Amino acid sequence: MSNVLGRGEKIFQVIIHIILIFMAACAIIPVWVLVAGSITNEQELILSGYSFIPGSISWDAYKYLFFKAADIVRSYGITVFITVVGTALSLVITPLLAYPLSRKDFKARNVISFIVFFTMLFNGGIVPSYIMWTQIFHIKNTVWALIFPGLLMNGFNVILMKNYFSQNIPVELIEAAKVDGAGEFLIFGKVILPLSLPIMATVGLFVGIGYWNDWTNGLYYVTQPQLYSLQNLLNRILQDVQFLSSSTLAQAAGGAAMTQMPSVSIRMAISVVGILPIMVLYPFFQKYFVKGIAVGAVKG
Amino acid sequence: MKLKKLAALAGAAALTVTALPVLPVYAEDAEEIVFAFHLTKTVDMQPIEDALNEITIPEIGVKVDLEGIQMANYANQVGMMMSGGEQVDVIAMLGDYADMLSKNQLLCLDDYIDEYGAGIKEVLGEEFLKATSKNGSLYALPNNNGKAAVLNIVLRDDLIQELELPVDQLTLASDFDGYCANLDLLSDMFAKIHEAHPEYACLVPSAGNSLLFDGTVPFMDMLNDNYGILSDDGSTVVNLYETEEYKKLISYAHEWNQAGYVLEDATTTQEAANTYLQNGRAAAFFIKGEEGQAEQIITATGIPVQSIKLLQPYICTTDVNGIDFGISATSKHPEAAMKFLNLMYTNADVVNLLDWGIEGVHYEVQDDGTVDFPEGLDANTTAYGLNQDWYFGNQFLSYIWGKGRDTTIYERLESNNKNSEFSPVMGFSYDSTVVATELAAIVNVRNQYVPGLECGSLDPETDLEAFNKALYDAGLQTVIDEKQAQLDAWKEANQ
Amino acid sequence: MEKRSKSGTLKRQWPLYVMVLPGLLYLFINNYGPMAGMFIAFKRIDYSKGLWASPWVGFENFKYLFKTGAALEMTRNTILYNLVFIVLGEVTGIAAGIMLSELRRKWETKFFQTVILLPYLLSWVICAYIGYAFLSRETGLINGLLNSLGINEVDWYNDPGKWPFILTFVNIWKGLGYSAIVYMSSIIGIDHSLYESAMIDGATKWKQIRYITLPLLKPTVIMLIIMSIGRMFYSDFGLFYQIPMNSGTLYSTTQTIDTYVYRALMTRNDIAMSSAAGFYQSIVGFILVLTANYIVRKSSPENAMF
Repeated sequence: MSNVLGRGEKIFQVIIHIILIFMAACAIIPVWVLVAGSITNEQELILSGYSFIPGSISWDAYKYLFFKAADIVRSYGITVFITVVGTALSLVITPLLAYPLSRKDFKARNVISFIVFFTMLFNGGIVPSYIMWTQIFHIKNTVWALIFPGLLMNGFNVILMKNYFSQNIPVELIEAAKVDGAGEFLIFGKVILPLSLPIMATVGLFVGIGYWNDWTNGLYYVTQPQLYSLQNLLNRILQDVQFLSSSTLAQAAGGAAMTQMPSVSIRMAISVVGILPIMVLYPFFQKYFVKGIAVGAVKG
Repeated sequence: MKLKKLAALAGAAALTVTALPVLPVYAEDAEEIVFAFHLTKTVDMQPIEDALNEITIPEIGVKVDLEGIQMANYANQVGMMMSGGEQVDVIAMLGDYADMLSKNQLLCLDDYIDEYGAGIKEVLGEEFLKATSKNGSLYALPNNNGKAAVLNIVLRDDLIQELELPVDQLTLASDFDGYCANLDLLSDMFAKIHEAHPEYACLVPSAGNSLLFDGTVPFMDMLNDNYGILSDDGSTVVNLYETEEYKKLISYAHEWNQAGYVLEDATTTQEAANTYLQNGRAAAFFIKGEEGQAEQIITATGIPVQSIKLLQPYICTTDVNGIDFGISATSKHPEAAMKFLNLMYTNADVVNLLDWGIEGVHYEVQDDGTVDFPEGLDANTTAYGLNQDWYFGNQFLSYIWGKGRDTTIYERLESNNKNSEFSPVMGFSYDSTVVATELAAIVNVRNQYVPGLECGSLDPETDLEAFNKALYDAGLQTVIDEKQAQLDAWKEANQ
Repeated sequence: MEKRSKSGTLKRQWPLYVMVLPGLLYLFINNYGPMAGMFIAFKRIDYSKGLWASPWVGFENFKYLFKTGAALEMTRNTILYNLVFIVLGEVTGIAAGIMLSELRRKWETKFFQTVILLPYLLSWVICAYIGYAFLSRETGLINGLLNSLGINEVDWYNDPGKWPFILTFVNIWKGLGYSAIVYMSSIIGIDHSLYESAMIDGATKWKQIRYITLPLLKPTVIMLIIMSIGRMFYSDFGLFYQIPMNSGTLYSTTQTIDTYVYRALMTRNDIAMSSAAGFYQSIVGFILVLTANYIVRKSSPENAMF
């Protein structure tokens, strides 16, 4: 790449910077409001609402979370565990399924592609899934309940990968390896995977975020607080607040229970705690995309 | 190398995850049952369960597995457990008795109550059991607590003193006109508050984005769900939203809203009235409550208030069967389940354990007979603190929480339960299965209009008419006709 | 190659069949097994008998989806929103993906990518709180701004006309980071020698994008569009329920099939009726996808899904 930028190139860079800064501002301002809300005095939130700069800073929400530190640390542990294991497993089975589908000479390609695609259109709903996982695989109240149902692999990611393989990996490369006497597994491991870092990083990111943010598995399959993930903890609180505020009966019966609900700033604080690690870790993760560029360059 | 590290990390995490506390070993002949109930916060039930089984195993030979389910997901989860063949024996209900009954989720209790649950019958009495019976058979047990809750106005005490609000002129109205007289008085008070302290919202919604407590018209039986209610003659089903009384109520709401007394975000807020009170935004709100309401609110918010009853009690079926306990239709241990239910209505230790946790750990009995946190614990640090004394079985066996609280309150609640007026069709519950299609559309129409009408932002003249038209378009007449038919049949059989 | 016998291919390709095995197994357990449970949509559930032994009721459970004018309104909203989301979502996603891949400094790529992904990480309920912080009548930031500018306050949650724009904005705001990354991963995979030779030929940046990047992205775009078409009758429940704070006056522009079903079944916990809704949405999606795929197959067969 030449270091001297042309005039057109300069204008282009200025324009994309302006647009990207606008996009970044749109993304960052609301998140800032969230963070500011979590350190605003509860009374100020109710009386004068959210602001960009809190009038009176209060760490009460975080103090409250500190009381619950044991729960939160444990739920972090659960979340990290399921994210790491789930993503790793997913990055094994997803490319293994996607790669043969990208091979034009693979006989069962169309049938299996359809089988994969079909799962994106139809689903049996939560009740049959629940019965399948709890009655046949008995995963209720185990950590596997947070890993296996739903999240491990989905048709979208398989198709995404398949597309990447068929577009970016020259058939000649595979043929050449075959001529050298390499078997299919060797080709997959030594030729395909090294060229697939960008897509592995992309799918890994999506799956990882899926695990990190998931709370439905915890909702349905886990009743022991020892197994609550962070998002599960947060969503239980948020959902109960909503349920109580909309249910006349629950309020009439349990007026006292209403007071147990964590305040707005605590709800904000928990979600800040939930996204913080991703904000911190993502830039490190990002280097795999950059590596992908390097690989592309070598290829050329 | 990296993979190995990862695997080691994962393994270590798995170990910590699966290393749950070792359970005590119980006598093998104890019959094991699962008790599904609503949880309002995330707590570890294991210590409670262990302590509970130390009572139930020697007493009735039953080991109870406490399955606390998040409140917002409860009905869904119980349905899944039952359809999946998972063990559930005792199930709790929070407003879904009629729905569960219509889906045959509840086992008929007739064969078990006399033999294993005699204590329950004694505690609840015939009148209350009617609310959970169908065609003379018993399907669930209402919890035992104060059932005579009526509409209260909660007002900040400092404002009452400062503006000399004439709260003693408010009466326990015994008819709709008397109630309107109360509301007129309140209008004047709101005017005074608004003039002196415009920073307060005189009124905030207290439930389901309604100022007037979910459209409930006093002294009328809403017949389960507000769609088709009992008219004054005690036998005809009519449309609530076409009654003069409803129109009058939402006219008050509209008037207050126009005068600027109402929280501007009333129709969309998801915060509790208590939150607005605590943070100095609300001056007053309506809420349904019984004796001790003011004390509860003061404990919760730290704001001195008065909670003044506006009506004579009038008990309908849904007031009684709001919270119930029953036995799952899929239960293989109905006898054991009934034995446990019997304890929950007759054994104070069981009730206190479920309500407040373990004595000495989660609570301490005080000199005045109430209970409160032990030294060094508070609402933030306690490991239990469910605060669900209004829920489990027989509340009148429970300790009263909060040092210094009035300990005679249960006597008053019990006497109110006995001396209240009952709806003429007490015990009637209706099965909405055949009109489910219509109800689906009706509920959507209701959600569209009711918050606006009952917070006063919609106009009672024009919008009410549009609302009623939309209701009939959605099939309200079919629902009313069906309800009427069921009511007639019920009357035939019961009177 | 075509000459080889079938058994010969199988012998040669058995490792490929082994590779797909774990993934297929998972799909059969996680997706196809539960799909058999769709029969629930045609039952009236009687828990004392169990799911299978409950009585069949034909299409009874579907009726509520087609009842009254609400059906028309919610179907219209669902389809129109999806069309807008597909078009704008693709355009903004491609634009963002290209821009991110054109950044020259590593820290910039890191920074912008991380930041625009942030909204995707927030749960809908929290997004609704943030939305409320901006739009609330009493205390909203926007009304505060309007006030200080001397403009009349807007009662956002009671003004249905504004919500098509708000919801579209929120949807793109939340999904942009995700789709930008999808496209970025495709762009990064593009052979760089193509750009270098184009540059030597004196092609401007715009021309490079127009003649190299976009054509190479075409398969991904078509794939994503076909997949979105399959979800045409679905809507993101969180977006349409939480963000408008369930405000009744907004139904004319915020009610979709999913919110209608949720509200309809909130008080009646009826799994048969909710299965029926899912069944209906899936069937329509399936037909639409087959049609779309058929059209693609006719015009550019190499981009068809199957």
